[in-house]
This record gives sequence, structure tokens and C-alpha cells, in this order.
Amino acid sequence: MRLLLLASAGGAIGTGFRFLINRVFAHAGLIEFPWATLTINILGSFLMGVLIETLALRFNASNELRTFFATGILGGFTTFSAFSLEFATLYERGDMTTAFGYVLLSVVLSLLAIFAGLIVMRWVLA
Amino acid sequence: MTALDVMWVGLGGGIGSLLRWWVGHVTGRVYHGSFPLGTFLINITGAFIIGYLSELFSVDWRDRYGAALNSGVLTGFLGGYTTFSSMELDAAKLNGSKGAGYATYYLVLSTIIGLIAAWCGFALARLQG
Repeated sequence: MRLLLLASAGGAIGTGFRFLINRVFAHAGLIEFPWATLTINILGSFLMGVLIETLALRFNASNELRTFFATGILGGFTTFSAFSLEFATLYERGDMTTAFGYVLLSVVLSLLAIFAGLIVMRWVLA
Repeated sequence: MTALDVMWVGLGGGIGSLLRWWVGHVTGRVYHGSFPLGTFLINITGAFIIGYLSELFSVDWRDRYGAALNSGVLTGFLGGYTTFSSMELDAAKLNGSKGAGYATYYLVLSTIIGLIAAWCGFALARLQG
């Protein structure tokens, strides 16, 4: 029950930050390509790497902290549904190169970002 | 953007994340294999529903945050329910435990099935409309 509340409180915070970043990108006129979601997912994955390594090395892999920060905040901050919707929209418009480029960039750069996060913290906290 | 929008988004994100935690929890009880089934099911169902609803409300991503309905349900609830960072974390963990081949398989499968699910949601809404 406590974990459930931690996950949902963290999720509300993470989702709020995602919304704000979306708004900032929309305000800057960066809406022809899904820059906002791309930035959010890469940044969130990097922070996930940083967090997981920090929890493992310093906080004894605490279940409460992991649920609040990883499942809650970062899980709610990053999103797969917006990513898939943006792909479908680009695809429907017939913009295949952009659609598949977007998918490839998202998946590969986010994966590199999480490894970067893990390595940086291993190095910092070692 | 108003404080009310942020409130709807936060509320939706809180409920979505709660559901994500719960689905992960239940999946973990039923399934004990090495495949990250929880995150997989969450992202696929979330992608299907966002495809369906966005076609139903006919919203493009550029006006996703217009009405309370869009911000609360699409950006909030479904955005909070699905996750990209956990999927990448699953892949990074699998890379360590099962090797790069299995990690790549998981990542590619999740992405492709997720994108197909979103498109199926689109198609279903169009069939009905």
C-alpha cells in the first residue's frame, strides 16, 4: 500500500515535469518533429541509469526509494504512448524517413543514455 | 497553460503510474521468467489505447495539451501509465544477465509491437467512425 502511494505520487510529479517540458518546446515552436518527447525519453533514461547505480552503491537498493524515484518519477516522466502516437502520426502523413528515424533515435540514444548514467555514477561513487 | 492543466496532468499521471505499478506487481506474481513481461504489456496496451483515443478525439500530438480531456487522459494518464525509461532499464539489465542478443530482442520486440498496437488503435477507431 505504501509502495503504491509512492509510485503514484512520484508519477504525478514526473508527469507534471513532462507536461512542462512539452509546453516549453511548444512555446519555442519546436513542434514539427517530436523534439519534446525525444528529449524527455533520453534525459529520463540517463537519470534512470544515474539513479539505479546510486541506489545500488549507496542506498542498499532500497525498495521505497526505487519505487518513488524509478517507478514513480522517472517512469511517469518518460513515456511510450506519446512516442508511439508520434510515430503513428508521422507514418500516417507518409513521412517514412522521419517516422523511422524518430524511432531509431529514441531507442538507441535512450539506451546509450542509460549506460552513460550507469557508468558515470559507477565512476563518481567508486 | 493554467494551474488547472497541470493539476489534471498530475492527477492523470498519478493514476496512470499507480496502475503501472499494480500491473507490474500482478505480472510479477503470475510470471517468473526472465522476459520483462510487465513493462512489455503496459507499453503495448498504453500504445493501443492512445492510438484509439487520439483518433477518436482526432488530436495530433501538437494539440495534445489543449483541453483538459487531452492533457488529463493522453498526456497525464496514458503518459504516466506507459514508460520509456523502465523499458531501457530492462534492456540494460538483460544485457548484463542474458547477453546483448536477448536485450536487443526485447527492445526491438517491445518497440515494434508497441508501434503496431498504436496503429491498430488508430485503425479500430477509424473502422468505428
